[in-house]
Amino acid sequence: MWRFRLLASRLRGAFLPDPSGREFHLEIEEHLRLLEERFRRQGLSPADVRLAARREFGGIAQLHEHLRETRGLPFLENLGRDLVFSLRMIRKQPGFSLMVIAILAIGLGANTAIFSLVNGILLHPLPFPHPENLVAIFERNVLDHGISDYSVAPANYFDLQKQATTLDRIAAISYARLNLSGTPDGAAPERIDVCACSAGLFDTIGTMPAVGRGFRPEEDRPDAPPVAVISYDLWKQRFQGSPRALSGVIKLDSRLYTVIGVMPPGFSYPARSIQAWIPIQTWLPPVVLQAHDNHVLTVIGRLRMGVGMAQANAEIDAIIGRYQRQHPEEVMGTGARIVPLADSEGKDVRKLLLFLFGAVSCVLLIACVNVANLLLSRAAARRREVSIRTALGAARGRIVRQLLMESIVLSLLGGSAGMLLALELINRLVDWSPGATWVPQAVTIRPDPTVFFFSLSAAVAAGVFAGLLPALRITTSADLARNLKETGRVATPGRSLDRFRDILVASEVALALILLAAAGVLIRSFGHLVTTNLGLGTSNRLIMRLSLPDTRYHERLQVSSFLKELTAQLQSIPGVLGVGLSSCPAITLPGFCPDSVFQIEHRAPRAGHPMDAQYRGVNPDFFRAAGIPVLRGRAFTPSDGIGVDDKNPLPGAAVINQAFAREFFPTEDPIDRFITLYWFVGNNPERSVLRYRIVGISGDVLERPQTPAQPTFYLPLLDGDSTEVSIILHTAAGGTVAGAARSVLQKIDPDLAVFGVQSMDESLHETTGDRQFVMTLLAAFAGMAMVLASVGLYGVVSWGVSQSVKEIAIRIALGANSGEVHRMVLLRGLRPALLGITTGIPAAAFLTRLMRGLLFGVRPLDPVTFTLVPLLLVTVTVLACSLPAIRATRVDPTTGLRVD
Amino acid sequence: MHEARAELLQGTLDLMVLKTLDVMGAMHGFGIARRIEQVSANALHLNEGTVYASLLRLQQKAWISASWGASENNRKAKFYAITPSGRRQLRREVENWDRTAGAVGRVLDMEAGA
Repeated sequence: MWRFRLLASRLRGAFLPDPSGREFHLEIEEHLRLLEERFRRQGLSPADVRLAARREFGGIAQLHEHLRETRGLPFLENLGRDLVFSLRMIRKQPGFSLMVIAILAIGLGANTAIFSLVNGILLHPLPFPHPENLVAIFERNVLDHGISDYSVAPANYFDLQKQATTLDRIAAISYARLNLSGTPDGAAPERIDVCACSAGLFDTIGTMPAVGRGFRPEEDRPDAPPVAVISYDLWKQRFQGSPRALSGVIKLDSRLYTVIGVMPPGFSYPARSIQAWIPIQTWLPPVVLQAHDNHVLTVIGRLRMGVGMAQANAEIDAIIGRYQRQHPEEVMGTGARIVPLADSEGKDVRKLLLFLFGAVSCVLLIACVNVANLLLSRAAARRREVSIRTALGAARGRIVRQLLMESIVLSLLGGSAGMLLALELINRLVDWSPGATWVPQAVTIRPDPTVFFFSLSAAVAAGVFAGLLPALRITTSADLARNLKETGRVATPGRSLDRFRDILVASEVALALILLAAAGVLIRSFGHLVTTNLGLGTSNRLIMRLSLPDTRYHERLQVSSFLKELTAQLQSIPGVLGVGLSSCPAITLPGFCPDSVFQIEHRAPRAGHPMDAQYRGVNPDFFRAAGIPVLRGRAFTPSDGIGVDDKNPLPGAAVINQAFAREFFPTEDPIDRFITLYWFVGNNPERSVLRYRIVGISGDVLERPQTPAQPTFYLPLLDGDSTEVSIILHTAAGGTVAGAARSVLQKIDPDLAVFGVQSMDESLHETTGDRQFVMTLLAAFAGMAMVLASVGLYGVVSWGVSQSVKEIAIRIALGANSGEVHRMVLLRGLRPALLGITTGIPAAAFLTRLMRGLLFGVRPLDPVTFTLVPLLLVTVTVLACSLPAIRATRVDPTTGLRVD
Repeated sequence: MHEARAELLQGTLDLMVLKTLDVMGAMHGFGIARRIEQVSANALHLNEGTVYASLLRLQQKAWISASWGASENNRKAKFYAITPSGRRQLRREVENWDRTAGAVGRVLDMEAGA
């Protein structure tokens, strides 16, 4: 109890104005007077009386001091005093303070932003209840391609759904991009991402619609009336957030869907771009739903309570494996495996983020070193002040605390500025980052308190480190006397602190070199990437995509005649030199184009290793319009198709690419050989055997510069089997035909949404987008690192000059010319810089070797990078030193010698 | 002269001040100093200023209270009085002291007898 009263009393003493200080004085005065009276009565002389009273009472000043300390909270009061003093010092040196704050803000801001991404994507659980029980399921070893995980075939998914006991729930997901029709009140038709999912998706991940309800099992049937759950954004946009949406409809690919639910805001599974969810069985055609060999589904599940990963994995593997053994003819996995859902999401983003985080940590490190350096130079400048204060009796702890407080206050200011910067950066990064939209956690990326605390502690730790070192150094009593001497009397100041600063600067230069080298090899890779010949014409090419609604383009003949009409109309636009149509974009992301197993006639099928290649349907003019050379044989003619009878297809013609020829006809001539496909044709519920005669070999097209060409066969698109159409228009130079092309399409079918209209160059830019993203960020970080390092160099050298004015003055007085002085100052900066460069090069080489997977056309030890980067740093060093060097040559010996 | 007087043990001054106030009622600092001097028969060396440090400590713990009154020569002086919680504390401290002093005494006697 009394402890509490004591604290209360001290708090009162600390914060209330203190009247008892005066009262106390009165009290003591009275005491002394009474003592004097007593001594007087004992007969002492008036002079002795006063002295005796004082002696009897003891030290009055000490008592006052003691009382001051026990009355209030001296620690707090001193802290307050230190704080006020620090703020005064910071204001008194605005240039220095701003520099420190800016450096810390940059370092911390960038670091916090990247760390927020890392935290949001890598460290955060998925934003669903019990995310640890969610798993993704993949089929194993479908094809002998060296790919381990395959999507799941629908029939295999249904097997798992029926048989798996280790999973509580299981759900299947497929993606579609559908035309959302416009509305009479002015909403334009648009292309939206739709998730076709099994009825149990929302139950499985554990998030239900915020408005309305999720799917009922009976709504996930092939013949069920179409229903849809829409995203919060779409709800706001199309229904103004009105509850009436629940009785409303949306038209997707000319089909009306009744809206039954609205997901909560920010819900982003399976991707942030998804605007609507529809039952998968109303979406995928029945033939696909029954297939064991059509690997199109993403399957996720929720483990039953108490079931471990290994147990579930064994069961799932056994279910898939059993079916495959019973039906060896099916192209499907020999088993399956499960992985935690969190691991399967954002896999690509993960590596990239860790890499960037490493880079940005380097920047933070440099920033901290730089700040330490700046504080050191200032501490050195204040050596004398500190020495005098110590000599006058200030306690060492008190001075150290004072110096520490200054650096902490500076760090906190820098940290706060950094947070503001980070907030800005995070918003931009999420928009820029090409991968982030595909990560469900992306929506949770925001600077949360943990991240804020992490950065702030980093800032304060930097401040303490930077403040403690010089503070301890200059207050060491052994140093005191020397400090008092050194700062005034000798021509050159103490060297020990300078040596330490040299090492700091050298490490800054080394770190900057590492980052510059990493950025350098990436930039060089990128240069190679964008100049690689992809095997098709990229300039003066306009591409666009459209998708024909299955409901209205049901027959192959309908599709075929639409495509012919489309070709003719587009061809008639002035400025269009060629019209290429294809079932899948000429340049696209790997895995975007479908592939199919096939056989080669008169060749025994490889048991267990079916032949598999990518395929595209193209129109006769495609190769010319896309600028892909036909190297042997011929391109298609309009009569190369399989005819219009679904049940009795004619032999068709096929064109293969060089990679196909190399892979499957290494020793034979492929021309006039037949490949056979076992496909569904049109609306025939039975599979047909399709024969295609190889009539030509085309050049390879690289989908991405860094991956080799895929074996591909081209089939006649005019057969009308594909309702996905990519258009590539070869245009006359400088012409703009996009508007005309759009209106042609609108005229043929006003319900069609045209999307992805862009030049081929823009499209290529997209496929290299994530690489460019990393490169840009890394280059920015490297640039920051270089600037920070040069600031550090400048600081050291100019400090050195200001401290050596006397030495320089003596040299000039003794006849040194300005060239010699210049050289001396330059050497002062070059020494640590060269040290940093020589130690940085091996470290950089190590890093670039780790980055091998990100490089293209450049060796990790790229000679260009490893020559230019050190040269660049030397140049920067010379520049950073030149200003102080010029200042040194201007030293006037007469005034210089008088400098204290 | 100093060597002949015992230095005050840490913390015992507070105890003596409390006891003095308990026995004598409200007193000012000078009076307390005189009283301790008399009772200890000049055996204790006391810097009288330290009495005030002790008074502040006791006040902060609310074991004594203070009010202004008039001194013997009719000037303003601060009078201190023990509070009920101060009395309780005094009882505890005295018991404590007796126990410690007794124990120390026994140990010393034993040594003297050996």
